Amino acid sequence: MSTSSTSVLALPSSVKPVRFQVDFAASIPKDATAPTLNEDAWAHNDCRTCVALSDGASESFDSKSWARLLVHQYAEDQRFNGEWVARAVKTYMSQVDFDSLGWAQQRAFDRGSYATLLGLTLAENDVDMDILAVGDSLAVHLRDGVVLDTYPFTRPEQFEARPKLLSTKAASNTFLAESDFFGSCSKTWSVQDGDVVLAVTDAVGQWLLSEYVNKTHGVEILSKITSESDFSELVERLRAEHHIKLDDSTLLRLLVVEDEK
Amino acid sequence: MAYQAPIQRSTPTAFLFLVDQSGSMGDRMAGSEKTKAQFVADVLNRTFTDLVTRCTKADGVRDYFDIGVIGYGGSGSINGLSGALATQVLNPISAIEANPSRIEDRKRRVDDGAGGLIEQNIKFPVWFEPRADGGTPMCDAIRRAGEELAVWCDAHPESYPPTVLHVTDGESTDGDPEQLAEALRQFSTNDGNVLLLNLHVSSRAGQPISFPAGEGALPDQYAKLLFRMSSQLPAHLVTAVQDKGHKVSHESRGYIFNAEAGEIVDFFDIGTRASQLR
Repeated sequence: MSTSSTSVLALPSSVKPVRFQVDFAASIPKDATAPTLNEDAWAHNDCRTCVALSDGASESFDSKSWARLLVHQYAEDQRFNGEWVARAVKTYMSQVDFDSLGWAQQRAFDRGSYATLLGLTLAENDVDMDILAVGDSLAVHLRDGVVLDTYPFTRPEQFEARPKLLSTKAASNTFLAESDFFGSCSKTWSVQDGDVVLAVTDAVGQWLLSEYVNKTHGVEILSKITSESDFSELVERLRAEHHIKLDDSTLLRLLVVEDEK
Repeated sequence: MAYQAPIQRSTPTAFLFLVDQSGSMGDRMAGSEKTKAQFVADVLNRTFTDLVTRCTKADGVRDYFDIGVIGYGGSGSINGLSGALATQVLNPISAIEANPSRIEDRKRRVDDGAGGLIEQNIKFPVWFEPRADGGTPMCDAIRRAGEELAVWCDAHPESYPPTVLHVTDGESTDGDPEQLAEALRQFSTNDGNVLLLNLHVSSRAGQPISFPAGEGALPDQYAKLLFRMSSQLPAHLVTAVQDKGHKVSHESRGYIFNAEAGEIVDFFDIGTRASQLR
């Protein structure tokens, strides 16, 4: 999928360039005693027009590296398609010396690594935000504290289905060749200065959508949280109450701001 | 709700395999050159390999599982593993990975990507050797399993409970195992009772009966006994059975009667599908 780019000529003259401002970012590992094993990753490009978030699957050989590779490649190049994924796989493969691995690691490597990819890209028209969502990481669009839309899911039960994930095994990426795939994993939102976009991995996303559909305060809580320790406390409490799945839990809160440059 | 505990290094689960090694396990499988003992050993070794692979990450093997084998036959019930793994019945999966008794080089045929097949070398680790002699001291084996799992459950109160996968082809020769099986199923963690799944291996061609919900269709008292000894399947295992294409209901028990090769493979695969690893 290429990111859409509407003609600048069609825009009102008052539209100013917009960028993301990372207002809050924190990731709470599933295992508090082993934060280095956190398999969520995120990145943005230098001009902050693109932010990518990835959730590496637990049963993978090296989903942490795979998730990192995906978000950094996406931040640099948003022209996501089959070739884009093949290039990422090639880079991943080049980083592993297969012959040096023991028998179990060779088998685990053969099994592959898997991760989601959520890409948020401000289009050149400074009005549209293109979303790419492979897997179950979630984006939420807020304006003045009100949820305008969520993507790719709108209901918490949608997180129960097995998500399609990007794999280091080409045979597991055949869904990319399905004719309707790119239409089914992308969407465009119109954004403006002051809008808030939340990007979260699945555990937070499922809780957030259940709070939203039940008209409780989850969106408000995540909109106001200001410190990693507060977010950690929230996640730990929700885990203890079985309101959130035990998984790496990442929250990015992005402000859409006019670029002052 | 039971059987929901996350499986992680701080709260691993356990798989204990009880394997009949009596003389009749030396009979050939229907339609196969292999004996029942050889076939079960192959599937068990492959299951170990799969479990190790599931736990192996780039930075090492994570101890999500404790694994053990109790074999029973002419020597009574014995630890089915050898070498460094023989000092205790249940071993962490990292110790299993580090201590196969040997590694065989085998060949497999894989898709060459152009519509053909090519042979590929693959390492096949072996932990468990086929063995077939003597009687069927099933009661002794179940009693020993109970001793092991009582200690394990006490030490892991927050864990997904242990799963016992029992493979047999005959009747117990040391008494009625039903009460002992019931006692085994009563051991529990805070997440539920021990699961006991039974597999009856056949050397005759015949219709297998997989995961029945009642005794009605079973042909004899012995088959019915194994049914009663088996745990009712928890919801996520019902789903795993459905994924294999078997008809199953929420009353179904973890039991396959008259299993042939395909059912044996399915039994080990389904029985080791604890909930998601974290």
